[in-house]
Amino acid sequence: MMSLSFIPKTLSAWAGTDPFAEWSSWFDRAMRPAFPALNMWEDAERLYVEAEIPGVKAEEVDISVLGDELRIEGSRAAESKPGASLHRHERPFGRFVRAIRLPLPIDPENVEASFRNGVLTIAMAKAEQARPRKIQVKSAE
Amino acid sequence: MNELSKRETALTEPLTDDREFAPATDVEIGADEYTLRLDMPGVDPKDIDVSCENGTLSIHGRASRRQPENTAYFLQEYEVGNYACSFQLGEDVDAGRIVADYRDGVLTVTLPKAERARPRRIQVRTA
Repeated sequence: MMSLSFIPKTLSAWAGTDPFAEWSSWFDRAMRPAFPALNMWEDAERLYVEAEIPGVKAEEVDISVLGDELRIEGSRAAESKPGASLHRHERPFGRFVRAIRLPLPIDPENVEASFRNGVLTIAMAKAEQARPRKIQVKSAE
Repeated sequence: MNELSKRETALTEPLTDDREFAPATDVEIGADEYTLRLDMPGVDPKDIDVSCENGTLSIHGRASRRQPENTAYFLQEYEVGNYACSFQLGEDVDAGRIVADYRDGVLTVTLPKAERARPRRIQVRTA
């Protein structure tokens, strides 16, 4: 179960390796926040998970659902112009994996993912038993 | 604030407004230009303002609410808010030729160096 923690917007961490070791050396492995940060909410019909993954193309992200676990993985390549030197490096790159347990049953055949401007939104239809069902009250005659 | 030699970089620490988020930024220095890459996901390109005035480059991105006001979250690891940051540019930047490109949530700003600031090899003539 992922713990709830506030991820400061200016910090992000990648689970993957990165050749700029000096930059990540002050991140103790245990203190490294999970990447990507996730938001999860629901409406009557669906469960949603959203992640901010800028600089990654839709085809570079793998999303899978197995049982009650949603898994998001991918990688972002470092960009740089030949002959240039990096003066500041805050944007992480490399592989990332995030697995999260879903709080309610969903229909794995009915999952849609969209990716726009670096924001990934996964909409999962709730399984029949998870939908609110109105119960008719019959009055005795 | 660190003393940075003028030759190495003309970009100093960014100034930010406390109530907005400063995007994670990479700054790259090349022979002919500076390149800034900023992670600014979830902004419509028309809501991004990049302007340069008196040697200060200002970047602002207006984020819009993605879920309805009263949404109950199971998990909320990040907040959505506006992006803002600014940079003091050195005199070697040719402000008239700055270009900005937004793709997949990343804003790339290219700041070409003025002609006179580029390293130039001078041929030594012999008699």
